[in-house]
Amino acid sequence: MSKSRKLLLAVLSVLSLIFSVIAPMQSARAADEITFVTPAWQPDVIKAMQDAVSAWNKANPKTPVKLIPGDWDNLGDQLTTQFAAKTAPDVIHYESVGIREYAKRGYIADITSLMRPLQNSIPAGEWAAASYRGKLVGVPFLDQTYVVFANVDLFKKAGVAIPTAKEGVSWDDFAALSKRMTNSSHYGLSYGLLRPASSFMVMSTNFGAKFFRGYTSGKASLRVGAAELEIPSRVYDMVYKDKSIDPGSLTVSAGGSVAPFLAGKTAMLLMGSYAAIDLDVAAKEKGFNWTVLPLLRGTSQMQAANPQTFSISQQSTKKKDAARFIQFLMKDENVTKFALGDGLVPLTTSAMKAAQVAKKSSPGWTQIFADGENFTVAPFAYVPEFDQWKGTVLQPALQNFMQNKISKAELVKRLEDGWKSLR
Amino acid sequence: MSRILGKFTIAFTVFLFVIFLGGPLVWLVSMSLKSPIEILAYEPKLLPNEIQLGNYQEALEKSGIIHAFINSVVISTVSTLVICLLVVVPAYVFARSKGILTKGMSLWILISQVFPLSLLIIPMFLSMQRLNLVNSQFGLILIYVIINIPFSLWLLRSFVLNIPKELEEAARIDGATTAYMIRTVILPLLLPGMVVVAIFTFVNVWNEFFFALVFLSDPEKATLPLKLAQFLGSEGRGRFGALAAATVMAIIPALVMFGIIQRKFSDNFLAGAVKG
Repeated sequence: MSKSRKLLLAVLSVLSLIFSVIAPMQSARAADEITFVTPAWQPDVIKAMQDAVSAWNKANPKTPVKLIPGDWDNLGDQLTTQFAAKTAPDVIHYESVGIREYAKRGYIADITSLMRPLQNSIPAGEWAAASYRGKLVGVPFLDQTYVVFANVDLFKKAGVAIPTAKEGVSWDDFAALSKRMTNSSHYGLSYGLLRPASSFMVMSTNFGAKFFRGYTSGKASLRVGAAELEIPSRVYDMVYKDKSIDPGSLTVSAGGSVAPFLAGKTAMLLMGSYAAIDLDVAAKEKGFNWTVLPLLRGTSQMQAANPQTFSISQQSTKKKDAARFIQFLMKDENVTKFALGDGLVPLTTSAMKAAQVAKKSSPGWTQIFADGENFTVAPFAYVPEFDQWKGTVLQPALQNFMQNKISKAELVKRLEDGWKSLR
Repeated sequence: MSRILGKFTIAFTVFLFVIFLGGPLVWLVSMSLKSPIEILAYEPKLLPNEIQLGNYQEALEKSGIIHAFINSVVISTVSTLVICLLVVVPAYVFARSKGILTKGMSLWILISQVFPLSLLIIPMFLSMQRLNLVNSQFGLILIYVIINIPFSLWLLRSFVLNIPKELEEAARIDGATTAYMIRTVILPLLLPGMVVVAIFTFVNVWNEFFFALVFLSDPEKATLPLKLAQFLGSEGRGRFGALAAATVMAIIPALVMFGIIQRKFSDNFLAGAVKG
């Protein structure tokens, strides 16, 4: 046999060997299996999800659940393709803003009647945020508030009292506090402003910002007025006029704003409550002393709800079993573990109590859980195209504004024109 | 003096190049050995204060990274081998044939590269679904072969064009058939080109994320990029220490393999270079 033929034979042998290994791996999905996709990424939450699935499978061997790991950044693309091809998972862990968009396209099942027993234990604003045209399309179970973390030792050193009033800290007082805590060795505030859209939209509810009108008719219009500009204007002033926000904040996302706070380069950190996870580690490893201020207040302390949800695909042939599984996931012990693992607010009354008990020794966590009653459904939650507008119009326009590249008038124009171009 | 200056300039440029290429790798290894708090440090240091192996432990125990690594090796290797086998003859034909049909086909292959893959994902998904190849590594290999063939074909075609036609003519005068000539004359001379195609294909497939994300739903079938993405959360957060550890483990075998292939590539490329 010639050398080249031997080579060809060798390559074909290797290929057939590999294919013979791969082929048995292409197992078909079991007919009675419930598929459950979750983008959980914190180790404790992943473990809690795995434990919950194992416990379910042990108790329900005829309707086992298969857990499919996803990731937050790509779950939308993954679901879009799977819905189009009718291969979507039965149970979907996502967020209400995204799930409502799929509900508009008919991909998500109405689970109002299946989840009725849970309704009384979940705040009305959260329930509404996870509903589309009056029908529940996801069970809300966790949400995050944007809170102000404080470095207790820096405040003590400066002789400044940390606000504790239950009615919250007004934005004027907060700006003054940040200015007061700014000196030659540190800034008042660290606030990841590289992608400010989410936090600005959530906190704009402080000033009653609506952005959208006529949303119940399905033909929402957008208007950016004084209320809608309150948060961007105030933060802009803190960066450029008061100079009390670390200028490095403009170049980092939320995750990147923790480092200067932990290093004592800023006295406060404005971020989602989930930062408490990192701060707990810092407290344990290097004695970092942190707490949380009462929620910021404009005309109210309310923040827009965008809860994490469990939904059922309209394509699922096992909706009742999937609903039973969601009710199983919503047990207090599970929701409490999800909340503590993610640093978020649990949304059922009893899970909230359990979480408060688990973290009663921490003033910061206590404040975070106490803030859980300040969620309301914002108008944008009713607008299925909001997510698209947020990503393609709002985010880049706010980035340009915060980097001082465009004026306030230009910001308004871009937001309104951008919305019209999407309609 | 100018000679010394020249040597210094070359050495300095090489040094900068090594820093530029090797810097991120050193940083990655360093990060994989740091504690979570050190990773969050405001003024990060190049070397860890204290070497921690916890990130490696987390990556190995909790993420199923080894299984994903094996999946990636299998999928990348098979895709690369299949493409290398499939492109030789067409590359030869496209390089040597002057017919209108060949020119048209070759233009079409070039045009097919213009379409963004994201536009094709849903039609491809539906097609694969009809073939019952969704959530199948075999299906994913098929996709990778399809999307990588056009570029590989064009790449190899340029290597064929560099082979002197006189060699083929000599083989034909000796009575060789086209198939025999390709096997005994063209193929050995194309080896450096094949190595380049293999490297490009392997790297493309090894790093590919989006098709794997959409086509594979079974965690046991996930490739490395899918597993690595699961270390990341939203809003710029993530388990960066474990991610760095998993990435280090993922690239070591690939680096070793490329070291071997690169050597082979250089050997073949220079073979005969000094013969008269």
